[in-house]
Amino acid sequence: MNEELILLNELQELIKAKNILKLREFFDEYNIVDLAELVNELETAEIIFVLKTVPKDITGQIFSYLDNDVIEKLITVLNSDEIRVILNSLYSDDLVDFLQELPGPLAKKVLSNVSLQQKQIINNLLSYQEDTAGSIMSTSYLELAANDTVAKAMEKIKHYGKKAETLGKCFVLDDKGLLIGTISLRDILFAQNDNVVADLMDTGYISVLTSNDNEMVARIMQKYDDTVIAVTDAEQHMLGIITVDDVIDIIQEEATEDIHKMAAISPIEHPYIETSPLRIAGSRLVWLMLLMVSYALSSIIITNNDQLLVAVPTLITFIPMLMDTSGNAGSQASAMVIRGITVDNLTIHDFFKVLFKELSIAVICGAILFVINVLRIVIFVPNVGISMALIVSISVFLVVILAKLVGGLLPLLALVIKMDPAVLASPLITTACDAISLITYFSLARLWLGL
Amino acid sequence: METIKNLNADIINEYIEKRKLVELREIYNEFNIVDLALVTQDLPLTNIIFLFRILPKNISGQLFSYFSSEVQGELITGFTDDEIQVMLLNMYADDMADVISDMPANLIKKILMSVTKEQRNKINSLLSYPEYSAGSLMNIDYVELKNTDTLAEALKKIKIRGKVAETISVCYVTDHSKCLVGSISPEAILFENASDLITEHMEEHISSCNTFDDQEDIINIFAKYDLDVLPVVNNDNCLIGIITIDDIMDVMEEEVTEDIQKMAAIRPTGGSYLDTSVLDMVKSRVPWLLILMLSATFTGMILQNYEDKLLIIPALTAFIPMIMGTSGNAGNQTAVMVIRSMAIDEINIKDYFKVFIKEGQIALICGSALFVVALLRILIFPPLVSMPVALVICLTLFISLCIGKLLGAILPFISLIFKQDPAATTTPILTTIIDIVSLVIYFELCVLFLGI
Repeated sequence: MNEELILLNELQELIKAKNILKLREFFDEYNIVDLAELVNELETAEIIFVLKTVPKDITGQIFSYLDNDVIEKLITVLNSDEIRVILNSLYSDDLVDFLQELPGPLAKKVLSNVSLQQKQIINNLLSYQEDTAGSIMSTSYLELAANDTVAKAMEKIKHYGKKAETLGKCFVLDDKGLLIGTISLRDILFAQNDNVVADLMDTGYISVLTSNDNEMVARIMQKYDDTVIAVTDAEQHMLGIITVDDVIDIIQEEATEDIHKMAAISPIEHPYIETSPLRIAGSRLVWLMLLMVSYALSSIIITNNDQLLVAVPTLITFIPMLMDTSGNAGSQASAMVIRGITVDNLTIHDFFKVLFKELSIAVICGAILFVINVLRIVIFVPNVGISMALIVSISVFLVVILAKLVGGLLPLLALVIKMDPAVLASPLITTACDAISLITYFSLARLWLGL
Repeated sequence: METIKNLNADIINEYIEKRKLVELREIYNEFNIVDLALVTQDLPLTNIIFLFRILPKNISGQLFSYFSSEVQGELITGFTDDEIQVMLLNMYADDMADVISDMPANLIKKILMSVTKEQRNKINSLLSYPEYSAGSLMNIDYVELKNTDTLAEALKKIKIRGKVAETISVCYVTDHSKCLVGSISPEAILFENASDLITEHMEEHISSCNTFDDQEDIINIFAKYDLDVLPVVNNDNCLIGIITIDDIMDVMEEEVTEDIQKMAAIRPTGGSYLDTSVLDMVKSRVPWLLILMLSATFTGMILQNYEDKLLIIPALTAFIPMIMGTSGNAGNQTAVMVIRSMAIDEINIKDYFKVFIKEGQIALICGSALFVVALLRILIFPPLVSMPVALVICLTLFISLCIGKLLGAILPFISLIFKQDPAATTTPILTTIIDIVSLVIYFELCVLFLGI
């Protein structure tokens, strides 16, 4: 923190003194992400001075890491030429990302400033649906022809390499623009000059379609340990690439979304700290209200049994414990299975495997809880009597089993009706478990006490 | 994805039976290695061993590293010492260490006996770092250049070392005492003037991590700086390894799974759902179930205390689940959001005040909205209650929801202060406290406003 402040002070001093030489050195020296964080803290006028002073390639990179509100301020202040210079130094996918975040009028102002060629690329990328491979792909990649020699390939790499987002992998196309293989810079480097690319290339490459879902792309890259993946249309025409650094962000975002969904929160688009309280409240209220209203079910069950509760008031004191325990047991099972669906590809075909597994787990867990609960009641609340202790503890045993089965199987059933298990299952499970535990408890009490 | 269609175990088995060596080699050359490994590991063991004897060594080494640890163990048992050595020679040291750390002790012995001394040293040094540390993730097959090299000399080193290195997309530069001084891309080496010194073209301010850094921190470095490779240094800033992004992707997944499990009151299991035994599952779930059940003794005591009041207006009991459940849900929402933001480094301990204020505002909005909806729901659905009772219920809901949200915001920070994992400690404690607080508020308000 202190170091950051010192750097920020140094930067502001340099800007104030208009020390261009030192300023360029400063931006050469530090990491671009850290620099962008510093620039975010500056006044708009200071930022403009920086953007004009530092080399063009750095300007573009810093720009792509700035916060959205800072960028918006800049765009309204900068003139067309200045905007054009910055935009031309951005990679196409970063530019699209940034355009998608801007409010309409500003996006128009930006689009009117880029070169025609760039505009076509952008429009192309913008026309793909959000969250698909097409919308995150970059068109800055290096293509080679199958009949290129290694010498020719090196020449192409030297000529076009600086514009490509990555050289780790080059893509080999036939004369119709169809992707037929990939080749790494390393393979080219180690080959003889007169070798032909077609003989060296890897034909076992993996590619994705522009319409494929982001999350699927991330999973594929993860599975195949790939750092770059080709994006094609249905006929295998090469259209772009996706690099692993974009995928890392997607995996993080998806994980956050999944975690939020399991806690009954609708996904929010921006980081927590940047989202307004009103928007966060909105993302939470939907489920909060639905769940609250669904507690009408437990209210009705309790009301229907109020004769029983009046006759044996002690029963009331164990209601929260039973409901909590069944809720916890159910959400343990559902968290395991929902994560299993995402990571290990559990499907409805595993229904019986999950059923037996959860049943065995539940019987053991339930038995342990039964014993401990009998002891707990006998030790801490001996005045309720042994038969009450047994009613409550047997209920715990049964409720744990039912909750674990519901928690384990509901996510799989959500898959059958094509719903997201994380959204459907986890909030629903609490309500289901509550109702189950109350019904079990009251029925057992009636039977036992003969009421 | 086209390719997977024509790849199946029957064809491979058939080719092996008929000893069609050329066709087999063609298949293993053409298809993707991960798909091949998935199909191959389900073949009969004798067929796998046969394949390993006829396939090029670099392919069998890669195949092996993608097999499940069970199949790896069976193969090691079936291999001769020479075969083990040849195959391990074709694996990267970090994959080798991964394979070995999952093996039972007798097989580890067999492996360590059959490898060369140099390999044994590499494996031993990788195995000695604590689990979940940078050291346990890193690879020691990398290209290291000296700051006195020219670009021409650097290229020569890359051509020699590059074949065994896991990546050449970034090369690291060290000084005479092996201290990390910078990095250079192969593009710069290829395209700039061959007689230039490396130092003229290298990147000086690069991110690095220490061998003992936690893997969660390393994930955040990768995500923040959009890296493909991260160098690992020891306390003297000497370069001793690299971490590549493909390993990080797997670790990310594990970390998320762990966090989700912890938030659902499960101790992390490590393995996948279907592979984890029932007993291990029970062990990971029973502790929190027990603790939470025992802590419900408190709610029981509170209810016992107010039992006579509940008998005066029996309908009050019917709303206990709604009040406890809703404030629990609300607190949980907050806690989960805050904990996740902490895990991905969006907020840290200094932000406690910002978060507190934010959650305060959110709580007021949510609380007011729920107050209105709850009132409607009480007036519409049974059991029928009088207006004062309905208002007391809604007021309780409002207050305990606000408290729940604020607790959900504070508890993760308190865990951080005590150097505890917020994911593991917050959610269970939160539920218990909210249950108690909401019940007490409920009954006190009843006594206060309804005069019972």
